[in-house]
Formats: sequence, C-alpha cells, structure tokens
Amino acid sequence: MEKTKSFNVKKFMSDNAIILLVLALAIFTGLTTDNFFTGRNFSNLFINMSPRFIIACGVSGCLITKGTDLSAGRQVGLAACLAAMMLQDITYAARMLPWFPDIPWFAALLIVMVIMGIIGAINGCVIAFLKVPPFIATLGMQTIVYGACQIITNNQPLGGFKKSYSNVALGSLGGFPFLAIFAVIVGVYFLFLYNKTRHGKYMYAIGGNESAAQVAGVNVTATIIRIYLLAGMMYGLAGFLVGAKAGGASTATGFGYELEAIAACTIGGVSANGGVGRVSGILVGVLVFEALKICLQFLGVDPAYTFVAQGLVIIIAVALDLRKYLAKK
Amino acid sequence: MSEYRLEMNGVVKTFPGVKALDHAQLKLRPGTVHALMGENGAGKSTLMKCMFGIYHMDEGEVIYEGQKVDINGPLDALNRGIAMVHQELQPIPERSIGENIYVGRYPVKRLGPIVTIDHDKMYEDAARVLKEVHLNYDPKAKLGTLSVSQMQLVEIAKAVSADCKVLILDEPTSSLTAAEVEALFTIVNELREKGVSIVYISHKMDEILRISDEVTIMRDGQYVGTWSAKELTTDFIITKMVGRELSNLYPKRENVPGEAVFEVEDFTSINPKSFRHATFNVRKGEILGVAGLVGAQRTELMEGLFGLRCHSAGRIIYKGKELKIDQPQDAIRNGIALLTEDRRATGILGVLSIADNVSIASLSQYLIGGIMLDDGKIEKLVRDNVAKLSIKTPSSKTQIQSLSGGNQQKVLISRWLANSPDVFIMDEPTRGIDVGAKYEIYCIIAELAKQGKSIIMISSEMSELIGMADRIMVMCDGRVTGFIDGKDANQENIMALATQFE
Amino acid sequence: MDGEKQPQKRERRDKSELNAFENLYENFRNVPLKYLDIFIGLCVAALVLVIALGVMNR
Repeated sequence: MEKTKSFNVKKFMSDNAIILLVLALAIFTGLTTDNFFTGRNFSNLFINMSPRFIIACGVSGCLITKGTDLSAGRQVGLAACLAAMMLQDITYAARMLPWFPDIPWFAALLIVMVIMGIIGAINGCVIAFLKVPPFIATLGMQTIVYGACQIITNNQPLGGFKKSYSNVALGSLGGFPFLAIFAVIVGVYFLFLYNKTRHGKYMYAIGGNESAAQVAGVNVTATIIRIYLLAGMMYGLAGFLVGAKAGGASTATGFGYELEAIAACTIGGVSANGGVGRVSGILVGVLVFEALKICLQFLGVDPAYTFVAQGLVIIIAVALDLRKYLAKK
Repeated sequence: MSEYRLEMNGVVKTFPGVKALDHAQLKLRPGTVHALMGENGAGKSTLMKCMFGIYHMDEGEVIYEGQKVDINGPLDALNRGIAMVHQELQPIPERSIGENIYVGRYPVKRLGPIVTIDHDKMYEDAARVLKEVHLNYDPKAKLGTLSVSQMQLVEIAKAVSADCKVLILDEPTSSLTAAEVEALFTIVNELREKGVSIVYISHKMDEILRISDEVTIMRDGQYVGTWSAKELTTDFIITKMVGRELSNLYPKRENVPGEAVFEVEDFTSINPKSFRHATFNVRKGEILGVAGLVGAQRTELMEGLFGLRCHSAGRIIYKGKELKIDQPQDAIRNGIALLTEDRRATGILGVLSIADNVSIASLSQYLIGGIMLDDGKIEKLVRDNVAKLSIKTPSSKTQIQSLSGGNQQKVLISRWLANSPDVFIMDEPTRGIDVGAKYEIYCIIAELAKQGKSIIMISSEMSELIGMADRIMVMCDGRVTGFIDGKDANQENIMALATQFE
Repeated sequence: MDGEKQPQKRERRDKSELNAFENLYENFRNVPLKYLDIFIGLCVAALVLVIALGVMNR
C-alpha cells in the first residue's frame, strides 16, 4: 500500500531536516579535513555516544509522559563521584574514603544504580503524588543533587581509579568497546520495555491522554514513579561509565547532559507534546548530536561556537516538531 | 434594505472527521423571537459561533442589515450590535458585576495623554442596564457572590448594554428556576418590542412554542425548514428534528431484565453540592436510563461509582457482595466499565493506534510469561472487534484521532468489551455522533443487554432515553428524584422529576 | 449541544492538571505555519553562519 504513494520530497526534507543538515556537515568535514572517515574516528564517536544514549533512554520516558527531567546531568555527576569514591585504588594516597573496602566494580555499579534509583523514585513521587510540575520538581532535584555532590566530595576532584574500573571504559570485547556493549544492552532493554510490556503501553497512554488512561484503569501514579525510578538508574549507569571513561570525576561532571539528552530525544522524534517516541529515534538523535560535535571539533571550531551551534540545533528540532504537530490538524 | 435583519446563507463548516454544518441557513426578522431547534449535534451552537465570529466558516455568507459582512470575532460582533449569551458562561467571578458587563469595552476618560477607566460612568451605566432587565444587584458587588442563574441574567444584561440588534440566547433556561424563567421571558418580550431580533436556542418545546414567533429546524448540520410558531405542534417539530418516524429510530429490543444484580445504596459525594443519598439498582439485562438537566450531577455520580471521584458514604453491592471502589482499577477488576461523556478529554488516546486504544484496559490478559505482551493476541482482539462492531478503519495501526466520532466510540466500546464487563455505564454514548452511527451504537447497546449485561445509560436526549431504556432514573440537583418505567415515560413526566428542586 | 456540560468539564480539568507541559504545543495553535517556516529558515541560516564563522576564526 505504501509503495503506491509517491515519494514526497518536501515532506521527507522537513521530517529529516536536522539529520540531512548534519549529514551535509559531515560530508563537508570529510572533504575538507583528513582522517575524518576513519574507523578510529567512528569508534570514538560510538564511545562518546554510549553514555549519552543511556541518559537519553532514561529521560525519554519522562518526555513521553509530557514530563521532563532537568536533574539528569547532575545525577550523572553524582553517580560518577559516588563510583569514583568507591573505586579509588587501594594504594592511592589521596583516597577520599580510606576506610572503604576494596569492592569489585560491578558491586559499586549496583550500589550507584540503587542510590540513583532512589533519587529518581523521589522525583517520581513528588510528581505523581504531589502533582508538582515535572519541570519544577526536577529543577529542585537538580540543585539538591548538585549540593549533595559538593558536600560528599568536599568539592575535591577524584582520581586514582583502580585498574579494573578504568578498564570498563577502555577495554573492548572482540573489537567492540565495553561502553558500546553497555549501550546496546540498554537499547535492547528499552526496546523491549517500550514495545512489549504493559509498562511501555501505559507510558504511551499517559503521554497520549492522561485522564483517559486513568479512566481505562492505568495506574498513572505507579507508572510515573517507575519511569522516573528507571531514569535515575540509567543516570547511575551512565555516570559510572562517564567516570570510568574520563578517569576522574568532580562536581562538574555531567554538567549540561540533561539538555543534550532532551535535545537528542527531540531530534529523534520524541515529541515534547507527549505520547510519541521510539528507541530507534533516540539513537538517531544521539548520533546526530554527537556527529555535530565531532564535525565541529574536526573543523577546529572554537567550543564557544560549538555551543551556539548546538543551541540552534535544539531550537530547530523543537520548532520542526511543533510544525509537524500544527500541520497535522 | 431587505425584510431581514440578518441572513446566513449556505454556511459550511467542517471539523476533522465531521461536517458540522452543511449549507445551513438562518433568516432573522427585526422584532421577532426566532427559535433554532435541532437534536444534540445538529449544529445549532456551531452556526451561532459562526455568526458570532468564534468559528470561521468554510463557505457561506452573512448579510447583516442588507450588507454582506465578515465578522472577525466576538468583539467585532458586539460592536456591530450582535450579542450572545453563551451556554457556557465566561465570567470573572473575582471582579465586580459592572466590570463584567463592560469588560473589554470600558468607558474611558482622558487626562491629557493618560487614558483611565471611568469607573463612575461604568457603574452608573451598569446600574441603569441592570434596572432595564429588572435585576436589583449592586453593580459594585463581586460577580462571584451571585448564583449561576443570576450570572446568566447578568450576561443578558451585558448583551442589552451593548444596545444589540441581534441577541443570541443559547440554552438560556437550562440552569434557571421557574421564577427566573418568567423573569427572563419578560426581558425577552421587552427586547422584542424594542425591535431586537432574538435567536432562541432551547430543547424545551413548551418554552419554544410560548415565546417564539418563528422556528428554524436543523438536522445533521443541514437546514430543514422555517415555520411560523403558531402552526407548529410538538410532534411535528420532533419528526422534523429526527428526520424519520420515531418508531424506526431505535432498534427493537429483545432483552429480558432479570433479578437486580448491581445495587447502590445511599451513595454520597464528599462535595456537598454534588450527588447525595443516591440509591438505585440495575437488573441483569436491563437498560437503565438516567435523565436530568445540566448540573443534575449524573456524570459525577457515575464517575463516583467508577472510582474517579471520592465519596463520603454509601455502598455498592454487586451480586450480594459489597465492592470497595477507590480507583478505576478496582471498578474494572469487578467487571464495571465506564464509557465517559467527553470522548476527546477522557476517552481516546489520540496519538496512539487503534490497537493500543482497544487493548489498553485489558493488557494483563495478553501476557506471555507474565511479562511480555503477545502482539498476535492483541491483533486478533482488534480484528475481532473491528469486524464485530463494524469499525471503519484502514488498519489497526491507524491513529484513533483520525477516525470519525462514531468509529472512535466503537473503539472505546470494544476497549471495555475486551474486559467482558457485567455492568456497563455509558455516559452520553451518542453525543457528537452522526445519525447513522447512532443507530449502530443503539444496536450494540441493545445486543449487550440481550446478552445479560446491565447497562446504565446517561443521556440528555429524552427521546433517546424513552426509546432505549427499560427504566429511567431521573436526577435533579444531585438527588435521585424518581424512577419511570420505560413504557410510561414521556417528556412531561421526566421533566417534572428533573425539575424537582428542593 | 456540544458544549452543554461545560462547567462540569472545567471541574474535571482541574483534577487532571498534572504538568506544565500539558498541551504545550496547543499554545501555538494560532501561529501561522508560514511564520514558523520563516523562523526555522532563519535558525538554519544562523546555524550555517555560526559554523562558517567558527571555521574562519580558528
């Protein structure tokens, strides 16, 4: 049936405008610089994408239910600091917690994810029970988490990780970087969760029409809490990986990640008006956003200009989404 | 200048999925009361909103005092002398009566370059206008201190204050007491003598026949005809409104009501102004109609039973077992379904597919291993329902918001049927649905009753209740005021119970 | 009578008002698409300009 439809060039252009723009930029970069289209560069791209994709998956549930999570970036920072505190090398002189036992990295990962899950659940409870707008609730949480992070780290940067922790980021399995494997597992999990479970269907229903979902017997409160809880756990995982990759963590880690994640989701077709969004779209969104950054880096553009460009891409993404919404009716 | 003050010709207005107006027309003579009649969804309000510039018409023209005009919006209409008292009021309760009357067109005074509102003049004028419509209110009092019906009269005063030549009254008496209706009629008569053309929209036959000079009837957005009120009888109006003989309008029912299965005792809202002490039962295989005026709290009562609203007292007993319902999930688990009144706001999940919309309330039935949803089973459920209820849709992946109202309603009915409920509450099941689809919905309701399900059907169309219900429960102002057997029910005895205010 | 029960509907809306983003896009209902297109066009132009400036200033 679809085959008979004539290919609408204009619609295709406006639906994929940002992807096409970044593609054009990538081609331009490839032609004017050396070493752009190399395996090493692509591997670098995927490693950069991995934690951001995990964060974007976490925040996507909030966006689909017409919410948002502004505390994502700071939660990533807190998670990185917590992981760093637990996984400093036992022989490192400036250990922040000298009394802390030497635990394996996956135990630390579990602890971090549980703690961040609790923070996420608090977000969810405030939003679902107290009916605080998600924008406000998570803005408050953002500031609280930042403060908490400063308190527990004494505002000191953390370094001197044990080898096994650094290896989580640097190592690879059969040519695949560990980071990418984490991202793939998360992607598959979200794919399953969003399309094959009640939780996913309820999430889309709440985003589509919350009152109607309630009438249809959807437990709105529980679903929203689960969404924010899961989001928190994803920030925990991402923070753990970001720390490992950077080889250090500080209170500044994760700054601005929430906006990048929200922007990536929007580029990938997760509508800020709720009810719409696919995992594949989120992946494309993250890819586009990271590709933009790498291109500008290759072109030698000053980071200050890069920020302006990123901001413009976010605005264009939302405007296009809005246009799609308005044109439909 | 023509003999008409205002003419609307060939008005066409389409909303997504519905042709609300299809070459409708209306011709108003000066100094007459012109009743506009039609069933719910016939397009009366839409036509008025087109005249008033709230909606932009797709086709058609408005000729006002002999000239073709293009009315851009309510303020433009008001400046031209066309005023409207809405069904839904838009008052500002925290401001004074005078300000509410003059909002948007305050009298001003100038002190050099500074323009300020002339409060003295405003309140003087307001007092004069209020007197004109026989209202003894202090124009400086807050509007919020008045009752809803008093606010409605203030709205009329607002229209009068604009020295209007055309006044539209959209269901003006729906919330008025008998005495207030008399006061309103006095005002209407005075305005008519002054030469104002009044459009009077109402469902109440006796009012129409009493107050109006001419009657225009609409059906399904189309113009049926205009008659002089003197020649008309109630039966003639109903026949013209529904477009066929009443006997063919509803399917033959073959349900046999059995023993009472669903009982409600002394059900009372936590809100003292809402439903209270509601006691009734529904029998197996029975269609219980629920009648009442706007504000009778019928919807609230049903939402209370379904766990959407809190109650302070009362028991719900199903087959001798008391149910505890605090939230919709409890009701659904106990085999109760609720088709809500406002499909768009609380029914459809607009951006989601038909498959998602059908399956959302019964997802737990399609699990594999307690976690994974079985897409095959869901697809089968959708296919079965699409065939059984003849839902017209290109595919199960289609967004529900692109379907017509009738098909949306059928999707929602199949959502609940997937849970095989025993008690099915339907709140205005045919609102905003075209006539053909209405008949199909009636057939579905009759079939469900025949299968032994208990149906509670709220409707504001009395003919629908009389035609479909085995028994009619009437509510007024939050209380159940009586029951009428379906065979004995008529407009008069329903209205008598529906207006039994305390 | 499509709007017959407005007051009740309003009451219900209070109940379901859960977040600030609800119907965010509805606020833009009256913005003509043309303006939106112009806006998007300007943003794209600005993006190209910024990148060009960045490349030249390195």
